[in-house]
Amino acid sequence: MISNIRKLTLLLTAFILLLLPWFLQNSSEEIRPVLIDKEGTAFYQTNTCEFTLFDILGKNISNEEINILPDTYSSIKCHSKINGVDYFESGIRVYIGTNTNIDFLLQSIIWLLLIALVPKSNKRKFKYTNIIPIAITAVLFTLHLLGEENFYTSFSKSYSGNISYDNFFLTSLIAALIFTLIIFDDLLKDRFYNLINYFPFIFLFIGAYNTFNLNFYLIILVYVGLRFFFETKINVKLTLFYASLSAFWLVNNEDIYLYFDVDKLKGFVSSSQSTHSQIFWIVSLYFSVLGLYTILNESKDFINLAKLRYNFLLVGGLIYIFGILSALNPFIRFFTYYNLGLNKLGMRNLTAIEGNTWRGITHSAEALGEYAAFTILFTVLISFHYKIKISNFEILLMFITLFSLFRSNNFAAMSSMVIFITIFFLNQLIKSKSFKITLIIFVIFSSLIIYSKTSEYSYKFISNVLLNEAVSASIVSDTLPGNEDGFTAADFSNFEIFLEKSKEDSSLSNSLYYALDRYTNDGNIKYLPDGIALISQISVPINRSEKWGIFMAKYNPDFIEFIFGTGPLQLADYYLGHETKINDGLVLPHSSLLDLLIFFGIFGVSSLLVYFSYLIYNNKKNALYSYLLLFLLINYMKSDSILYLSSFILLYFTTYFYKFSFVIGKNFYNE
Amino acid sequence: MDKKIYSICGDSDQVVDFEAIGNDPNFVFKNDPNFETIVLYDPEGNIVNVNSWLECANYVNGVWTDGLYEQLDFERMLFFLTVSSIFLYLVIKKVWKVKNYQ
Repeated sequence: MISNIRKLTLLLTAFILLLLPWFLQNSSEEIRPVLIDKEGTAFYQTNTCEFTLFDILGKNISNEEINILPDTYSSIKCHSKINGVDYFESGIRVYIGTNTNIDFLLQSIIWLLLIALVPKSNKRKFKYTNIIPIAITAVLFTLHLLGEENFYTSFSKSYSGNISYDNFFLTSLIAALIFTLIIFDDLLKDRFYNLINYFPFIFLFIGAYNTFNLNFYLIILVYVGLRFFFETKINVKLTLFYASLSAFWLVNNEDIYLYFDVDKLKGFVSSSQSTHSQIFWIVSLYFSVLGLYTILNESKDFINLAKLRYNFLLVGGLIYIFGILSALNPFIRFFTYYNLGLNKLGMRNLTAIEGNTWRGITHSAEALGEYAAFTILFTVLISFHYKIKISNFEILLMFITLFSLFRSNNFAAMSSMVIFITIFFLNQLIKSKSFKITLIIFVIFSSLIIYSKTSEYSYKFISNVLLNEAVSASIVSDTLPGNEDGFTAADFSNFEIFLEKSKEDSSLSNSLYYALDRYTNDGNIKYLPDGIALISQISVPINRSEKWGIFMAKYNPDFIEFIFGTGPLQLADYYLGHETKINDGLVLPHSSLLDLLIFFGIFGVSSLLVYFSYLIYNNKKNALYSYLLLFLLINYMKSDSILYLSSFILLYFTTYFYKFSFVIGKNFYNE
Repeated sequence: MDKKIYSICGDSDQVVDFEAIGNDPNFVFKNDPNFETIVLYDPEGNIVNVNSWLECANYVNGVWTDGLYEQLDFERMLFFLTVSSIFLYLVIKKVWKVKNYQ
């Protein structure tokens, strides 16, 4: 009874907090809001900072012409007010003021209330006080604000990097951070062992602050990491190794305050290449991984598979429902964006867009597809492996999730999910090992034969296509002479012409120049396909030739950078350091492996591949684990999911999953 | 008169007819040697130096501010509000703890 009252109070508080800031007003009694249409636009342009979102709700609730967007440069006074209206033929844009300082406080409180809704577990006691972890987090936070000056000056007119007691922009943010962490610490102690069962909710409540390049979960994970740094035994060798790499990244960093527009990557990638920013992301990654590791390690005996499955499905269903509601109404779309902490506003329509994809409220259709397919795979494998009964409501949620998977049109996620489910059941049915091997070989070869027979492209074309795309994205291809039909050497894959100039005189990226040289000057090993041609062949059926080609055109590391990378979550140099034709818009590498190559170099990527291979080999008998991990690795290989905190946490959770396996059954059947 | 004007320009007994000033294209503001020059900014970042209380009031009555006004009134307020909330939260927590132990 008391628990129910508590939950009801929390929900009521959350509800009030969600609505109150958009309702409070001091607008004039003399002028009243009007309908926002072509004529009404002028009225709102004259009367800026006058009406709140709720003031205009009554007259415009069913106004399909408007699109509500945040005015991220608002003052505190105009937070939640209509700060501008622009008329376009395609629709009317209504800008609602959102202020940096208010955003941090308000969004943090909303998400803290969400954590408060997680049922209490056994209390986790800490040996030491939380003053030092809070202080260090505050210092890191300040470092971040100073290091990404260009990002914050574009969001706040009061931004000032002065470390001074009367810089109330900074001091009020630090105070808000301290407040957040004090409350979080209390919630953490009481719910520590239960957080893991509710982690799928990070895919619904994304936690990206509206006007910050920060994510709520990153802040609290860093804090948890710091809390445990002083309490538990840490891996000294790994820490020292990371510290050495960090020193290398910092020494090699060109201290440039570039501005990389993080767009939908908001919250988990650096927007600047400044030293302050480098330090922040290096230290934050270390402590957030430590925090994540400690949470998983300490709560591995408290995992409840049925609850986890239910939460995965519930989130899958809610993502779709919110996606629909957001598409139906601009007010819901704005509230969903702000309160869930989305990386970008949800879609405006119910119909699919380019490539027949629909992303709903998620940042990309690819991410929606990956989450939905993982949820279904997890549900099917867990339910059959541990014989966990599934309720009718969960079946309904599974169908909704399946539907969102179809709508996302993520073919790779869909097909890999079907393949792993099929292998799982075949594995259960077929006991003969030799038959299994024969079947696998047969399926692989027949698939390759079918693909080669049905493919409309020649072998030579698909071997060259990656380099063709890379050359086309490079500046050099514009200067090439064309034949009478306008075709250049690039169109005929005549790559030798690009190597006529030395690397120093060429405007090609280092990686492209090396790839062309290797491909052209016969670096082949007998009986083995050329590495570049092989990657090109893989890229064609998964529709990655263009994106990986652009990556090759842009990726311009020196030798040392290629070995060790440019540092965690640093994309600015990759993106802006070498000029290509693709310098506008956020064109990402479309492979988490390539993202990691930028961050940690070939050394880091190889180490991770060896580590994952080792894990899968060592747990080859634990089919459940191998399938889930392989599913994510395959899908992440062709998407940038590692750049999203929620997807990163999911991969970390899945990587760690083998450690849960023995206690899952025991604990689950006791539930 | 708007309290924003007094906050930025200082106190004055003058009663200003802004409409009359606005309608008179030949109106010239007289410098007040006792008035310390104030720098005002508009939302586009333009700067103007005002040399009398009347001139200052006229500009502030439009969209001009001293740039600090909002910070002083709102960000400082937010800072103290947050700090007070922290103390209030800690006090409530302490009282709650003591009450539960009794």
